Order: sequence, then C-alpha cells, then structure tokens
Amino acid sequence: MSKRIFLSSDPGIDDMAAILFALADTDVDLIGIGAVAGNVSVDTALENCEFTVALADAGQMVPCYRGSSGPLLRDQIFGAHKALGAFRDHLSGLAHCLPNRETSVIRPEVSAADAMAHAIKDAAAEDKPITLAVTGPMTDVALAMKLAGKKACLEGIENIVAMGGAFEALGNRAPYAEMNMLSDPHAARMVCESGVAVTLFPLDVTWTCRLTGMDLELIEREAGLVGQVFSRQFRASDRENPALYGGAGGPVHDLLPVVWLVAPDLFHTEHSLVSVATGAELAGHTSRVRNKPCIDAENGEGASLPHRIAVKVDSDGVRALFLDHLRSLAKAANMIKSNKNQTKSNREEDLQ
Amino acid sequence: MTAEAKPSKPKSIIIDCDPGVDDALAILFALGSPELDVKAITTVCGNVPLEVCTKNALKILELAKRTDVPVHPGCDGPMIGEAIFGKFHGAGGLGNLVLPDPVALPSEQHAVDKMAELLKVAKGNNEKLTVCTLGPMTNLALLIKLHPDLLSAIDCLVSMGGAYRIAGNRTLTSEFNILADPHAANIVYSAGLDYVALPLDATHQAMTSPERIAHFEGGATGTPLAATHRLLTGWNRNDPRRYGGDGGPMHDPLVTLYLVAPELFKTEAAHIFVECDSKLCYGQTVADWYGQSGEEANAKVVQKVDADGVFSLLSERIRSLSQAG
Repeated sequence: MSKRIFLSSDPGIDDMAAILFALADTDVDLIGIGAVAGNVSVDTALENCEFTVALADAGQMVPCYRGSSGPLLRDQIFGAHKALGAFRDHLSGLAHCLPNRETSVIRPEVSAADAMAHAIKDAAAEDKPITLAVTGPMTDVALAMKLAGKKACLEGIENIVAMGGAFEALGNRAPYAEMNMLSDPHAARMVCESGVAVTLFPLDVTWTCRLTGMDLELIEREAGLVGQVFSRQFRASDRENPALYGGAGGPVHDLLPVVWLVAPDLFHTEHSLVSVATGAELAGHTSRVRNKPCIDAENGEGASLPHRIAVKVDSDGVRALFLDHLRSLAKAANMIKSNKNQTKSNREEDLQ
Repeated sequence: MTAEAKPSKPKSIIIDCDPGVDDALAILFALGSPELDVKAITTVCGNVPLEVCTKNALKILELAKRTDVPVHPGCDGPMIGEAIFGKFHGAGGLGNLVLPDPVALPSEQHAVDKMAELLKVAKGNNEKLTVCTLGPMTNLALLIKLHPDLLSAIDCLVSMGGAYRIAGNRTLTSEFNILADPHAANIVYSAGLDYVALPLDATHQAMTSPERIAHFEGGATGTPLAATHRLLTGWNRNDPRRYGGDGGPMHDPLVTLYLVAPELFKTEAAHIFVECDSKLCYGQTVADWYGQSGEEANAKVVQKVDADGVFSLLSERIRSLSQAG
C-alpha cells in the first residue's frame, strides 16, 4: 500500500532532491506540497516547489500550497544559499526545455497549513493516517496541528519525518543550532511536544551522506533534463566543506527523511526524547534523552521516548537509490513526451 | 445611561471566550445591548477544557433564547506547554449555576475558519468587525499567522488580559489569560492591531458587593437576570487583603461593556510586552508607559473604571434581555 505524504518545504536545492524523490517513488502518494519561508522567502519557495513539480512531469499534478511568510514569533533568517533564490534563474541554456511557468501547476486557494489541517482531520475521520514530511522550518506543520487539534493529530498522523536538529554536530547556521530548528524554534517545540511520533534527521547524519562530483556527473548524464537541472543547481550552491565533513561532496540534508520512508533499512535510528530550546539565548538548540537515563520514578518523566533520531545512514545506498529514482523520472518523462508526440502525429494524420 | 440610546447601525462583533462565569456575563450583556450585533461566539481552552467551554456557550445562548448565534469551537490547548485551567469557575465552568444541557450543537467549522470567513465578508463589503477575547488568545494568534491579509478588516480588538501596575492573579506576576498562552499573546501584541487591554488593574476596580448584586434581583426563574444574580452571589473571593474589600472582580464583562460605554473607562497608551521565556515571570505583561523602550505604543491599557456605572449598565441590559421575547 502506498504511503500518503504531505510535504512541507522551503526549496532549497536539497528540498528539491526530496520532492523529486517523493514524486519518483511508486510507494509514495504525495498528496500536497506546502511552501514555507525558510531558506528563501515564501514566494521563492512556492515558485521553486511549482517549478520542481512541473520539471519532474511525473504524470501526477501535485498541488503546491502557499504557506507562512515567516516564523511564528521570531524574524525570518534565511539559508546560507538564499542568494541562489529561484531555481529558474540559474538555468540559462536550458531555458527552452523548462516547463512553462503559468500552465504547469495547480494553485489552490487555501494556505499550506489549512490544507494540512484538513488532510489530518480527514485522515483521522477515515482512519487512514498520513505522514508529514518536513524539510524546512516547522511553522506550517505546527499551525496545522494546532488547528486540527490534539485528537485528530494523534489519530490522523502516522509519523512526522523531518530534517532538523543537531546533537553531536552542534550546528550549522548558529554554533548551537541547525538551520530549520533555528528558523522557527517555537514551531519545532510545538511539533516535538505534540505527542505524535517524530523521526528526526539531524546534521550528525545528514553530513555523512554527501553527493560528490562523480554522483552529479552520473545524475547529469543518466537522468535527462531533471538530472541536468538538479546537478547544475547543486553545483551552483557549492556545498563542499571537506574540513567540516571530513571528505568530499556536499550534503543533501532534506533528501534523507523522504528516503527513510521507503527504505528504512538504509538507516539506523534510536528512540529518543527530543527537546527544542525556545529561550532567547539558545533558541533552536536541540537536546535529547536516550535510553531513559532521566526517568523520574515519581512522575514517570522521561519514561516515554516518543521520537526517533537517525544516527547512521548508508550513504552509498541512499545515493544509488536517489540516482535510480531520478533515472526513472527521466524515463517516465520521455515516455510521456513520446506519447504526446505520438498523439500529436496521430492527430495530424487524422487532419490529413 | 439608558437602553434607548440606539446607534444607527450596531457594531458587528465576534466573542472569543472560555465560559467561565464572567464570560457568561460578558456574553449576556452583549446580547442585551442593541449597540452590538454578535456574529459568532468562538471558544478556546481556558477556564475549563474546550468541550466544556463550547457546551457552556451553547447553554448561555439558550438561556438568552439566542440560538441564532453560532458557536464555533477553536483550539484545544495553548500553542506551547500544557493547558492550565481556572480556579473559580467550578467543575462545570459556570460556578453554582445549573443550566439545562443545550439542545443546539456547535458548528463543525473551526473558530479560526469562522473568524476568517466573517472577516473576508466584511472586507469584501468594506466593513469592519470588532473582536473581543475573554480567554487565552490562541485562536486569535492562529488567525493572525494564517490570515495576515484579513487583519485590516478588524476594527478593534478588546481583550481581558494582563496585569501591569498590580500583581498577577494566577502566579506572582501573571494574569490567567496571558499565562495560559503567552506566546499567543506575543503574536497578538506584535500584529499591529488597534488593541484595548482590560488588565487586572482595571477589573479589580469593579468588585461585586451586596449593594451592586442587589441590582440584579427580581428576575423570574430561568431568565438571564436570575442566572446572573446566582453567578454573582457565588463570585465572592473573600480576600479583602488582596482586593481591598469583599466581593469578586468583574473581569470579562468589562470587555463588552467597553464597546458600549467607553466613557466608563480611562485608558493609557503604552507599548506592551509579554515574557515567554522566564520561569519565574512566565506570562508577565509589562507596559512601557514612559517611552523607555523606544517602541511606539501598541495598546490602549485601561487603568480606571467607573465601577458603579459598570454595574448599573450591566444590570440594565441583562434585565432588558430577560424581558425581551
């Protein structure tokens, strides 16, 4: 049975990887994508979501929803690669092959959080829980869950998988915090304290799964237009930092939670209880309780560990699966194109 | 002050509340005031859990024979942290008042969606709505985050909440409504709305007394007037050291009273802040009265109340509601 997933993202090149992977996977039914302010402004995030869906041309028109234009309480901080902005602006030379901006997307009236809240309530009512995948700040997810109410969340959400947090790795956007958590610590705290199962992919693990120059060459060569666009974007964001990562290649953070949903064998996860700090000094800092060291016999605190944290990833396996998925997208796109051409030539024959 | 003073067009209002003894009085006053047109009652987890608030709102509307007003349940807890509940409202939320179970059902539509719908209609007609909050501001905070484009249709926001020049009630520093969801209050204070705050500074000036409660005597059984009398007689805090005398403070009714008779209140402009991070002062509201913060005023904070005027107008309107229909 396919997994129904609502994705909240702020593309972002690694969000793009997550969206493409979800669109390509036959076991994933992507029911919606919400664009949220994070790496880039909400407008650019929405444009990039729509662009990615249209580019993949996977035969399924996934609706892209406009989400929050900023975090719940703090001001927006942008991603390190925000200067890259809209994907479309970096693809000169490919412009003639790219999807048409106006005609290729569904643009719903409701906001991302509203759409997600409805999806949660419907899932609860039908007893068919959905998965929320989060590759940006948790603003919209937190609003949606508050709107849906606790009961609907517990019944309607099977799991929340999210890129976020840093434990041993400390941080990236601040010395003590990872970007998504730092961007909206209050939203992250709301989600982590919701009682719903959360599986977190922190920097500790995302830093160990990096796309190398060789990966990008393969993707470019074997995955058609999608591959060319992705490789070019990825190179443009220059994500290498061998001194920090201990080797070549750039991390593709947001891809991991989505891959885990279909290939959990490529990961090792641990039960934990994650806390997100919201105080002024360390907002966005994540800490965890493992193996119940903090159980207080009196009030049972620490006894339940509702979260999972990914602690190890099979990098080769993830990269191979990603390439495989991009290849299948390219293949599907070719088939659709040749079908279209076929229909067109049939029609032309009819006309003659 | 007489009930005949009818404005040409009543003010359209939404009452967001957590009934609650004093919420009940605020709602009954609004229903009895021709100057106000109650478009919807929305509920939020506060004095009592959400389902109880919603049920109480329906009960109050049936008491007033105003089941035409829809009730929309909202958020079931604060944005962050566990829900806290009121201490003076009894298990059922309406103190010593027993009302029949409501016949009507609450709307399926969420409070925030209803607010957005009403504001959208108002905006389309070039009209404005007044929003009252009598409980934690969770619903309103969500509205602000989800529908920033509709906020221009809010004429004014009047809220019971905060404690500025006096101590808190639920903790040393903090008033219940703000303590229950300080993050929501923070979002509301930062939203740039025309905001009137009715803090404890004001509500502790409007204390019940035997003379004031006597205004509400003589209602037939089953009328709003009789119900109000019963609620008020059970509201005595018996804590003269804190309140300067016997009686209980009239928190929430001041919100709807302010809309009808602003001349009974004196406000001071200030920039207000709320503490969300401290352990000791969680939920504390702080006002910058003298421009020390460099921030422009974002609120009008009520600092003085004509208490006799309040009780006389409140009783007049609830009496007329009881005689209507």
